[in-house]
Amino acid sequence: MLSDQELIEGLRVGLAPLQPRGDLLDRLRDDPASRQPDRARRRSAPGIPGGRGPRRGIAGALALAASGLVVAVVVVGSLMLIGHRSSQTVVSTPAVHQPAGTNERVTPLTRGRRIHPILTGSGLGRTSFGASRFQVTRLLRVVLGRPQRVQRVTGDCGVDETLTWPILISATTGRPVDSEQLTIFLDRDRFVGYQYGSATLAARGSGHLRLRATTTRGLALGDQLSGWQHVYGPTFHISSAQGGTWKVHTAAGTLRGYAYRPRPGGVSPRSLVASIDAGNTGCPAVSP
Amino acid sequence: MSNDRAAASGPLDREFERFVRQASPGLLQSAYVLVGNLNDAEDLLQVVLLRTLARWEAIEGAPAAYAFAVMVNLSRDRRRARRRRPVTISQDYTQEPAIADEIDRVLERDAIVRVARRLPRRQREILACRFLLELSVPETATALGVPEGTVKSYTARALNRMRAMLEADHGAVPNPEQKVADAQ
Repeated sequence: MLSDQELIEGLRVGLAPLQPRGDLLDRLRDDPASRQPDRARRRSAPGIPGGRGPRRGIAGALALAASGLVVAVVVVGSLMLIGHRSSQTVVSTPAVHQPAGTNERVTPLTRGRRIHPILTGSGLGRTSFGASRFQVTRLLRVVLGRPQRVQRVTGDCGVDETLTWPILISATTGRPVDSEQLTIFLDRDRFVGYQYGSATLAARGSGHLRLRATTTRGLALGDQLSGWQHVYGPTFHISSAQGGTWKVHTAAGTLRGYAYRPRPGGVSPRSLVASIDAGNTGCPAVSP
Repeated sequence: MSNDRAAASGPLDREFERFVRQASPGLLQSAYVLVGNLNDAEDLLQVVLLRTLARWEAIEGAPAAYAFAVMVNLSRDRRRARRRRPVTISQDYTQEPAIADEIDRVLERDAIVRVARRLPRRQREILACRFLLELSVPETATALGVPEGTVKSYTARALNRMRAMLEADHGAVPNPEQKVADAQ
């Protein structure tokens, strides 16, 4: 017997593949109707299409007094709404994957998926930290299927559950490689952080990623750090802590991750992006 | 609000564009539940968005609720018109993005979607409004012009009916999360 929540989730996930056409906005712009706002019909009740206008038969004096109150409420409400809407996060689109001002060769290891979630400092694409468990897993379930591992954790610095999906398919075996994962961190069923990739790139030369995700500016797993120093400027930091890490402060929040050294030696600008993390990913590892 | 919306650059208001990006997936899915095939749902979505744009400056409250109310009205008109036309067979649910083929439980989810489409019209409208557009009970009540209690009772009835239809059709559908948990 399915619970209500399971039915609702099944309905949502079942319909999730239905997405508007990519050219929807262009079609709206091209439609002649989009240039002819129907201002003549603005008298109908707000928020309800075809709503009734002012009621007839109400005494004029009462209507005037009431309308004054309504105008005041509407003005205050509108001001509050403007404030609320202006604080919403603008959905970013991925930039062209070409760091400017550098001749470093940036070769993303990702390829060929239809859906490319954007990794931001405040969440995954449109799903910000604080979103419900369902909201954050909806897209990932469509792209990656069920999580490979659902793990309850305790005492992990504000994280009580992790969901993990393998993201790398081995070219030799055709099976997911366990070392490369996307991990979602939850606390009381709320999305609090993610880690995309892992500390090593050892197996990555012989496989392909199931999920192509980049930052808003196009930073992807496998990129050389030097290219992104040019793109992000002084907010991009490289550190030898924990065997090599990087960090960048963006308007949406801080992105960080591990760096991988193809050759022996300390982390350097020639090191590669091994993981991209944001939010709360549990207790920090002891450095170095 | 008008000033903010008037600060649009280009043919479409920026805020409207943002609304389209955010709400159109839910609206399309709602349209699919209401009209039953993807082509009609896409057409309906476009008309709904154009009508919403035409009234954009006058809308207060949730624009998605307004758009959904327009969608309900248009889908009812369409349904009446359909009664006078030959029935066409929907083919599109199997023509959706190939990515769906990779989902292990696509069959179970498809069963849930199909039983949702077999619900009575009002129950479908309320389910779409509440769970695809994620509107609150008061917003749903406003959009559909019914009391909040009706929204709650119809929601419960719709879910119970879906459960009954699923069991009648296929038996109980397993819970995916439980499967994963059991595997640990």
